[in-house]
Amino acid sequence: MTPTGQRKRGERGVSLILGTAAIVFVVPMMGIAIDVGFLYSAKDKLQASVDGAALAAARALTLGSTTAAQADSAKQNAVNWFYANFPQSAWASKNTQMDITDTHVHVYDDSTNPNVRHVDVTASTDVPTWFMRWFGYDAITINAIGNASRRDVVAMIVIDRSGSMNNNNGCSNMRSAAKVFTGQFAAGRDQIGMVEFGDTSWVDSSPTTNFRDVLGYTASGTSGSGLIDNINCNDNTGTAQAISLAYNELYKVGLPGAFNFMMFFTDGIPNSVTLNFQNVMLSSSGCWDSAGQSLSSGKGNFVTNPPSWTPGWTMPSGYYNPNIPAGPIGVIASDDPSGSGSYGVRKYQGVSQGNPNHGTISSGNAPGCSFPGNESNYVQDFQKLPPTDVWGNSLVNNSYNPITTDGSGNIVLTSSADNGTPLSGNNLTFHLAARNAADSAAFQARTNLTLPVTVFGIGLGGTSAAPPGYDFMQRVTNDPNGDLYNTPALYPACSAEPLCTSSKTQPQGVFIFSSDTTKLQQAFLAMASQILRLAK
Amino acid sequence: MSKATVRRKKRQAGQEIIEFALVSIFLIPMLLGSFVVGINIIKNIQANQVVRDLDNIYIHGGDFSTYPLQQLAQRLAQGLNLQFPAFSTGTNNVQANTGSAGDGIVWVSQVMYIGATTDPNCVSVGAGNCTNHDNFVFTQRIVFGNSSLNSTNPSMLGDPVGATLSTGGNVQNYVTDATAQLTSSAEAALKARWQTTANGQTPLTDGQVIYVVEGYFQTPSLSLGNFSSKGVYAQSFF
Repeated sequence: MTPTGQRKRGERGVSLILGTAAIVFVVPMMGIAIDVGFLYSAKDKLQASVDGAALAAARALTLGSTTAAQADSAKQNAVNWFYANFPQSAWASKNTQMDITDTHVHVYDDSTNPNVRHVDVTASTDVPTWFMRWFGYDAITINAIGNASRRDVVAMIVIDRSGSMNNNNGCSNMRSAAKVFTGQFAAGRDQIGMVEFGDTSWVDSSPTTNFRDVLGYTASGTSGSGLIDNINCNDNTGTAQAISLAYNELYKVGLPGAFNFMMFFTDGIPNSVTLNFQNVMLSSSGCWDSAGQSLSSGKGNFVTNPPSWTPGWTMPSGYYNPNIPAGPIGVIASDDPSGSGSYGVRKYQGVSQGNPNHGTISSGNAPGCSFPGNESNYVQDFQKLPPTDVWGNSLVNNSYNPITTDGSGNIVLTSSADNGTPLSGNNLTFHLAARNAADSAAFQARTNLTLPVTVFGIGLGGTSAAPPGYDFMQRVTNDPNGDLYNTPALYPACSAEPLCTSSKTQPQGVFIFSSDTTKLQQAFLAMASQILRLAK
Repeated sequence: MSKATVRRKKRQAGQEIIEFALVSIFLIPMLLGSFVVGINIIKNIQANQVVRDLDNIYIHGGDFSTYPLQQLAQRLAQGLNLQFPAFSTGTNNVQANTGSAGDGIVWVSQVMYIGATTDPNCVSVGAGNCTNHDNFVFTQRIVFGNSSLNSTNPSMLGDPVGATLSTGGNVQNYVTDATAQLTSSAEAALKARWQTTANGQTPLTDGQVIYVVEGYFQTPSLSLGNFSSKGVYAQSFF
């Protein structure tokens, strides 16, 4: 055996040698770990960059007047966003590959849903290594792929052109803002139409891909001249009819694969509603039925031969509510409560676009009735209202605006104002009924099983003596949030308001309140931004 | 054991320790360094993933002025110790929900480019009133997390100091109010990134919006001698 002392002398420095030898292995191992970590980090950033580029590209599919131009915009936006997130030399990278060619940005239609477009973004870059280069790997190429989609939009804008809109430049500011709003959407792919309403409504345009020209926005800005430019403001606020007409247009287009919504704008509480008076006429009215017989002769109502007070009222096929009857249909309307003002029964539909004065029911189409001579004489012919409007929207909602009904479900006109004396308050029965009906119309639009739509809403203050109630607008849009746009906040969350309800199971829209007319455009643009974020 | 062996042992006592110490001079700093670098890479990856995910939620309509969304951000940032106060009862939206606890802060911003005085944004307010033409402006700013980090490691975009913000973080009058503009350094930085023709880019046009999420997360546990790390910053432009 070798003496212990000699062995030990021979082993001197072994730890040092072993430690040094270990470093030869440990250092490269740690180096590889660091390199891989660095590469992973760079890959993560590259992935975030292509994700951002894809989403920005999808958003840009609204820019351009043709689908080809929109694809070009998308590709350009993808490049813009990519390099903003991942500049040249980021992470010491080299040879970054990303440009507008199809290789890197591919825009294409969905194979099954014609209303969806996709954008795929691909990028690559060479990331240098610090330690792995010892083994011949100077740089590693990393790749990332991102994609995003955009649904086409089918929309109706519903524009309140009541008389109060003329105050403080409301009407002109609304026209400008509405045009800019439509300009945010994709011409040639999206479809937008318009309904305008006072106490009666008018379908200016069904949804069309040519909306920029038809409605007045052009690719160059707001210099166009179209249907929005022709809106004149006058009359009252028949909200329910307008919402139902607008929904009907969406229903007729019938593209559930697209993003269907209604953009509802108003400056006042609903104060008008369109009704069929067939079953509520007094037998003493003196009105004649279509056979020329007076109710006072004993018929009691118009069950057998209801006259048509509005000969133009026909319901072609394709409407979402197939049971809308013909008959003695009119609009019961009043000005906003102000102590005096006009009220009464009027023709159901506006005469034409650009002529917002409501129609008048004449003695020619309502023979024998009292109100053709003086619209407010309606109380001599009926003192009740039917429980629904012509679209089936309920005028009765005791959890919202309670209304007295009789045993048949008809609404009893109870207040003195309802019975013909000058207007004196906010709670006229048909004001409450109009509010309930509008709420019901929006509910029907959101919950229709064939085509549920999202309702967005902009309310305007500073023009009407009775601006739209916050809770009313929250209900119509099914927006659970409080005011997120004004400082200080003007209203709380829906859950904190006694008369507000919202449902998570229905499409949830957004309500924005513009406190004066100068802020309207920003409100419309903010709304467009919200909508476009959801069109994915 | 012989006496000679015992004597040799005594002379050699501690030799391995000395040798190990010599090796450790290199090994320990390397281990500490790699530990710090490794953890920092992990934190960096985490931070980048968090801001990317938050930006993705944001661009799809997520409202980070609400407590549920801020809590979601907290869950996504697990391990980064993002903390903020709970909302008081009945409060639904808070623009700046910050406290003094935690190691992170998140800024959620919507930035819009306001074009020339002839562009729609300026036309809508009148060219003469269009204070913010040819500038980036905040149209929304929400912040939550540890407010002390805002002073030591501020947002790259700056803060809309003086601007009127709603509880939802929306900036009022962003076309006409000069305080809605980004700070000059942030403006310059954004213009260098966005208003350029390098790399095949084209400048943004009037009304184009960038959804930005930034996050800063300090890493105090990693201050090991000279191998210290103050924290990681990440941003995402969607």
